[in-house]
Amino acid sequence: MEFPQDLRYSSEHTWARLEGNRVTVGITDFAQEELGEVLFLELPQVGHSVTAGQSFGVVESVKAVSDLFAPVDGTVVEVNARLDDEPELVNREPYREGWMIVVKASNPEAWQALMNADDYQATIT
Amino acid sequence: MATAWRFLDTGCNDAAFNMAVDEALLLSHEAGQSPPTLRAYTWSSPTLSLGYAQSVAKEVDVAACRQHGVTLVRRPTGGRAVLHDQEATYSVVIPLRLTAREVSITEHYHRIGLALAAALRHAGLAVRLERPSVLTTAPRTASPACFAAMSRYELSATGRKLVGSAQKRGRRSLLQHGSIPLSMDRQRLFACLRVPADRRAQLLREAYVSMVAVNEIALAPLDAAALHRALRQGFVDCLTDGGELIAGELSPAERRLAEELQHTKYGTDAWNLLNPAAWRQRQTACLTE
Repeated sequence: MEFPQDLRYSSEHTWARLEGNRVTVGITDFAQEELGEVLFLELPQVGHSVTAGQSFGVVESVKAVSDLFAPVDGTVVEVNARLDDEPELVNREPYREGWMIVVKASNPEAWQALMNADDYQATIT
Repeated sequence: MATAWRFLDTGCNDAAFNMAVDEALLLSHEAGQSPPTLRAYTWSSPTLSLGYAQSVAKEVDVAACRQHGVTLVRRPTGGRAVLHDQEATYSVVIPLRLTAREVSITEHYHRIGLALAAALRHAGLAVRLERPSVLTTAPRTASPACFAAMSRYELSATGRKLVGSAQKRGRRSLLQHGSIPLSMDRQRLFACLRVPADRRAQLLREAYVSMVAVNEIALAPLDAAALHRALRQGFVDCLTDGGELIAGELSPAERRLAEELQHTKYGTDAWNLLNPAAWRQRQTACLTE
């Protein structure tokens, strides 16, 4: 199971990559393995506001429907349209091709307050 | 001291109210305003419930539903179509975490499955809790009907699926609900689903082999009330960790939330016949008008 060191993580099993004031968000390797095959994603539209700790979308897998929780506050500036037709990218490449949204963070410093890879890994083992 | 659970019997209601109450219970528990709850309910008219992302256009014959007197509703949980009619329906809302440990999706199905198995055995049924058939990927030739697929620690009797269940997970709370059919009208179920004409007869045959209802195997006929009493016993035996299961009512806040969800979500064509995204867009449009 992967825990990339350059990312930060939330207790709701989303990861966040910071580039300037843009934060790319997806679900972790642990989360995708838990869920099993992802069948469908409902993601917000560009321009939608997200709030840390609140739902920004929904994922349905073979096992369950689950809310997706934003790790930071901000505005959605990009959505991964490939996931409409290829939701399985979330399983195959959760940290790369399976990214879900990019958020223009209203407070990029909040990214630092998220868990690092080692702390996140400790919560699930 | 173990947490006291609530047992809630909301009786016989329509599809929109039934789904609205399940979501209201989940949201209330998420907000810390409700105890863990086992709910018992039944349906006032035959209803085809669809999984969260299931496509009506591709998988449902809406005209046939109307013709057969079947109401359509989209569930908050995933999975495939279930025809609800003569059945005992349950839902359970519990914390995602037990103590400090997060419980996996599969483990939740297992724990609740053990309680369901205990309940059905109390009712005199010989059931088996099936281990997941390593179903981490969807079968390519999947039937649009839920009961045709066995996964997730589900319950079988005489080698056929007896109880279908599905989960919706929030931030700290879990809703699992499921259907225990007393009888099963397989013909009506497949009449309401869009299946290729050349597969219809085969799927119907498979439905007799893969799906079963309580009164097809019970030694003496059972009704929903008997199964709901058995569910209460099974959950006390297996799931409440020594906590009591106290009969209660919807709180005023839960009832208000359920009525709002009934009217603005589960009673709307946008939610039921289109899809969740279309419904959300209409909600947003209404708010900005």
